[in-house]
Amino acid sequence: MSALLRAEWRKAVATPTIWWLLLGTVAIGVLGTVAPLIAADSGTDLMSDRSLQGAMHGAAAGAILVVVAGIIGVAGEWRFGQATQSFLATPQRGRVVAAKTLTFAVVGAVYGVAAGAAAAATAWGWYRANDLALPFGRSAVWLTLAGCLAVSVLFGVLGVAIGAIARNQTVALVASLAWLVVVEPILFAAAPRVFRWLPGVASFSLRRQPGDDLVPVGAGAAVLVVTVAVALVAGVVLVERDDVTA
Amino acid sequence: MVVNMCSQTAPIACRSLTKVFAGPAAVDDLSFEVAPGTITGFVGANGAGKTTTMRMLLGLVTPTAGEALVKGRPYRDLHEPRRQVGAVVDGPGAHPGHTARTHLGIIATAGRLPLRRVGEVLAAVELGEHAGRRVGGFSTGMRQRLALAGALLGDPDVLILDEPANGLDPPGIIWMRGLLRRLAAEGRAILVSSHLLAELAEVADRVVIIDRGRLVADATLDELLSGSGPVVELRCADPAAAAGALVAAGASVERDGDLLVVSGASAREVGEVVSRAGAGPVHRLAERATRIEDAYLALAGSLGTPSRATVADARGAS
Repeated sequence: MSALLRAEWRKAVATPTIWWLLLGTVAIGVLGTVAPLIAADSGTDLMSDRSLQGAMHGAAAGAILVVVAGIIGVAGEWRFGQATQSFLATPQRGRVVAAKTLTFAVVGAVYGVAAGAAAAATAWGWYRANDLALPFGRSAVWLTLAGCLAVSVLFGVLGVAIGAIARNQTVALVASLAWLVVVEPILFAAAPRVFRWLPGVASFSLRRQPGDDLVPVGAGAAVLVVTVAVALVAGVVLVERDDVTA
Repeated sequence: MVVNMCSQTAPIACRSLTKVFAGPAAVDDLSFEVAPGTITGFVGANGAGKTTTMRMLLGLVTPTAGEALVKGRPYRDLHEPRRQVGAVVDGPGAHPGHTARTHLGIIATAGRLPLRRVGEVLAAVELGEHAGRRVGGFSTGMRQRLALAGALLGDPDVLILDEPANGLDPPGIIWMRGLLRRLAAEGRAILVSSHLLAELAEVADRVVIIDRGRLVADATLDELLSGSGPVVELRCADPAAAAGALVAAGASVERDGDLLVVSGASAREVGEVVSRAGAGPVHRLAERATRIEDAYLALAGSLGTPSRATVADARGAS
């Protein structure tokens, strides 16, 4: 397994897209942190839990790009014939998907840490400019950042699962981006009490986005973990079952 | 019970191998073996089932029925398969953003092969100076060489190569033949496919010909050629009438444009039949030795036609 993991890691870090997506995730994370601070009117208490969470949860604003990375890491293999090469070395295809799962959990963690660090540095600068000190010791800051990291890791694995189910990069990317960016927000806006259980919306709970309609953090984490696990099992079953003809 | 030991340990064996995707079987009750130290040409028109057969041997496609065995086992059951089997299927399988060295390094790592092999195989396929270039910028010929390098990484004694000469220029094809001969001389069993029998005629010890998934011939080249006597080439004013009369007279006729290739009759007999049928005047009447293509066409009748039509279509379209 360790040889397979090393191969998958090597594959990921040698792929230029993975680095561009990291850059994108960090940039969007910084914007996601600054935007609520810019939007806050002068009367807002920047030191309140709500303000701190409102700023810091933005660190995961680019986490959707982690899903993209995971999809590219798996479905992309069917695009360039890499899947064939992977399975020639490791005919037990489930092991290949398992190695990719671990690899993109780590990729998600790296993206999450990078985006969290950039977001925290940005917020620290903003608070300092307002003669305030960003209270890193307060749970509203570090628990929010930890939640963002957890979302990033889970989204990496979600991307692997979606890529394994679809095995077509374009279909997987369009479908998952449309679902997370368009469909879920519309459903949630229409009936928040019902659709707050959707996985994308649940990720907002986990990253502690302030919001009255969201499910509790633990429930959000559970929804996301179960969704990812079910998708991953489905992906492994399909990859094991189907012929590799590309 | 008589057990054929040789058959039990054949490096490559298909036994009643069948694959049905949808509609007619892509591979239909196909059985053949490849012996160590030999090159077996695997020939058929495009779509005849060569690639599907090879993918079944490599554990990528699951057979509907029958067995596809490498060293007596399904590919999935091989220990460190990259050390045992080298394969070319559909190009190098490299991400276009990876360099040749990175691509082979990834394969070597996953296959638990020493990384020093990367440089060795790149030199063997004469890609050493391009090791640091991205695969996305490679020509078709370079991609095929890189695919072969991947197959050779584990120094395997079984090679399964699907159209490895596709896209190679004439010097590349000659180079490939030399490489295959060297690899077979080292005792490796090689199964190499092509839709052109002529491409393999010079290197193959044996030829397995399939048509629409079925076995048409499994023989040495000598056997293929000795099966039929010399042929007669005929060009005359009314080839259709001549062909009809010759077939009626018991000869078999392959038509190639206005040239008829007749087997089963001497030049004299052909001349007399054409004269009686009033299909003259005769422009050409010559006996010649059977060529590999004649044997191929005689065995697989329709086989030559689709590939030619494909070439013609491609020309017409471009």
